[in-house]
Amino acid sequence: MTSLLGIPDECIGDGQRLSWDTNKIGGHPDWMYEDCCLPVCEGCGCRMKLVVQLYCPLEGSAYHRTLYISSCYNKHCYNKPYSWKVQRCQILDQSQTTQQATNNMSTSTDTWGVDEDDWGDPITTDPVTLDTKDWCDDADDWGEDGDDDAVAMVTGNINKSNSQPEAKKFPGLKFEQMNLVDVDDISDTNSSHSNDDQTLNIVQEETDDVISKESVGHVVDLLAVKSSGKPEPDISCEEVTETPFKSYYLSVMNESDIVPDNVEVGKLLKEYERETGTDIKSLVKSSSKCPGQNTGGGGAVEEYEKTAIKGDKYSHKFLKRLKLCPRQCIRYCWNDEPMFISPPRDIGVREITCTNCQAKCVFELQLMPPLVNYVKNIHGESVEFGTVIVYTCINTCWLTNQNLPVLETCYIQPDPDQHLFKL
Amino acid sequence: MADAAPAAAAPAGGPAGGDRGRGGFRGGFGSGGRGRGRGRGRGRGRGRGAKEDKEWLPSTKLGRLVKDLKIKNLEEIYLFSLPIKEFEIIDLFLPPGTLKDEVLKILPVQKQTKAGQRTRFKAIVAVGDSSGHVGLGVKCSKEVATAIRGAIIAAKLSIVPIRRGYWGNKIGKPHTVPCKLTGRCGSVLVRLIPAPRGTGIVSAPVPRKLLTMAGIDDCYTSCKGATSTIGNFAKATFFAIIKTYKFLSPDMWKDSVLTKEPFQEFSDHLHKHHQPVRVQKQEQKVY
Repeated sequence: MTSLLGIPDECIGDGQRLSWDTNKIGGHPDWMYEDCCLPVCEGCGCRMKLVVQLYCPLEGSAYHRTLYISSCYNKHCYNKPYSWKVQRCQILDQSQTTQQATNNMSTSTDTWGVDEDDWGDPITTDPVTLDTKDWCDDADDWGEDGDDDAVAMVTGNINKSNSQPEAKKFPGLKFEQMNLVDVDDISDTNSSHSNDDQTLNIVQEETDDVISKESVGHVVDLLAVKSSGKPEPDISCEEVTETPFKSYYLSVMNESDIVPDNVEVGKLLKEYERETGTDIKSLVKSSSKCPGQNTGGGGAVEEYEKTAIKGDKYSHKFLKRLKLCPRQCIRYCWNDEPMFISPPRDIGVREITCTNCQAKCVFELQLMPPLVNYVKNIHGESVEFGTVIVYTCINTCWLTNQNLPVLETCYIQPDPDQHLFKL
Repeated sequence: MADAAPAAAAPAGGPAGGDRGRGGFRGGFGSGGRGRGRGRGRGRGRGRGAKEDKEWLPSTKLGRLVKDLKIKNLEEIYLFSLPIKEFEIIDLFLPPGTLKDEVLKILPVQKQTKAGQRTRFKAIVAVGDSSGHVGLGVKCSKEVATAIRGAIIAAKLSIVPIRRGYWGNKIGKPHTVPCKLTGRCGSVLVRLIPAPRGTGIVSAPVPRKLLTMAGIDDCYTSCKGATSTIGNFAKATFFAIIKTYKFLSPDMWKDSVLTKEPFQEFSDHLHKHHQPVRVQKQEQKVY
């Protein structure tokens, strides 16, 4: 199943009417029931703030279902497993129950089957598909390289997205492009930046040095020093709970519908053609006509070069996928595989069981790094995380007269370079 | 799972968004594709605004610090060897006006697969600001434009600082490499030798482009090996000029005042509280 991406939209103003079926970032939670409230952080005792509220009913379920993801604001609780909590509320959908009574409960196995068939489909000439595929590691269809299963997942997803059932199921829907409007919280101060000429010479010969004691000093302030173990709230808890994060709507798109922004290369190509006197078009034609010919004179032959991944493989692949849609904040794909930002340690999916009914938990959604830019408080500081992976009960268990939320499991991965910095 | 029910419910959320205006439908999450969810919110019907889309939303910690202007300088990142994972960081410090990029070569390459031979295009791009920063990127892709784009990003991520020095008298600004350096890649060996002021760059076209972009004005070069493989040739030159900051020259022998190391406090604490593990002595067997 192709992933759904949540992209922040316009800011929620004061007089807007919201309810538990609004997808939003920040703000106050819109509860389904009266007695619900946000949990308290186990580390510092402060009440958590709502980060994301998502309305995500499951297929085949008669319930309206909302997830409330909240986090502790305290700096000492960043990236700790107890500092993020996911609550799930459900309410019976009255219209659903009446419809199901009249319809036959036909479990349409053919739609399941159609998805299976698409594994073998060749790549269509859909320009969107080709573009998104090319951004992925281009080693993927060079026979069996074998080590890019993340890429195979993407191509598998994109192939599946070409499947027809989506259009058939929702004939009346038009998947519209997102409209990003005034996100006035993000400040725009990039043009006033200038290089400064500092005078201290670390190396005496260089007269155009740019490092100075002050600049080194303030970078050292940012970098990691051993911190004391106990979490202490440095802001008063009351102040924290009263001011929620600034709230924005979330718009939802299919991952396969995203067209990545492309840097203009026409000018570069023309310059290259002019200087070297080669014609790119003839190069393309000649290579396709005579595949047996190798360029490069003498005995030396240029070879295909796979992009060398320096350092962190997991985070490289994660960021690569993220860059296809750089504004994505939520990645939703029920019962699929999550994308890890660093090697997953002590996470065994088979061991995660629902606290309520002891059934298995499956991956539902994950929060992506661009969301950090949106959960800022009045001081401009934001809750730090790399990715937060949410696992929910496979049965979405809910008792008929229950009116308190169910706690779900979440797994936090910090930013891979977080250890280098001081909070 | 039945999906007859969701199909009936979903259109109710879609076109019935009359009060929300055009472009107002925002779907919801849910396991049935777009789900039954009905989003709320009013789009003003405006298409993708150019300003908001071009604005960079950082996805790494370093990117956020750079965007908030907490890090003022590329050199500060180099000093502490922080990994740069987003090319927009480089764009912020070296705006496209100062940072020039140039395609060194585009060539088709082939690989033998079970289905025969597949041709891809390899693009080699060098970027530099002619004053101490240079980067080299190589990317293979099915299409030429995609390869160039990927190579530009790879080049920006690989930008390194370069140290320049003098040939003789230390008058004026540094103009040449500080010492003789050599870099290797594959069979290609490139040797850079300091030259007096006014010599210019005496070399083959490929290293000349890289050295000019680095900001080196005068240099002699000596190359060996299969220099017609432009990929290896460019990389060998790149490795040679990276070595400028790896070389310990006599003027650096004197101990400079050390800034307090970020991990100093940590190591002091360890020293105070570390208890050596006591190992029980094994009985020595006497044969």
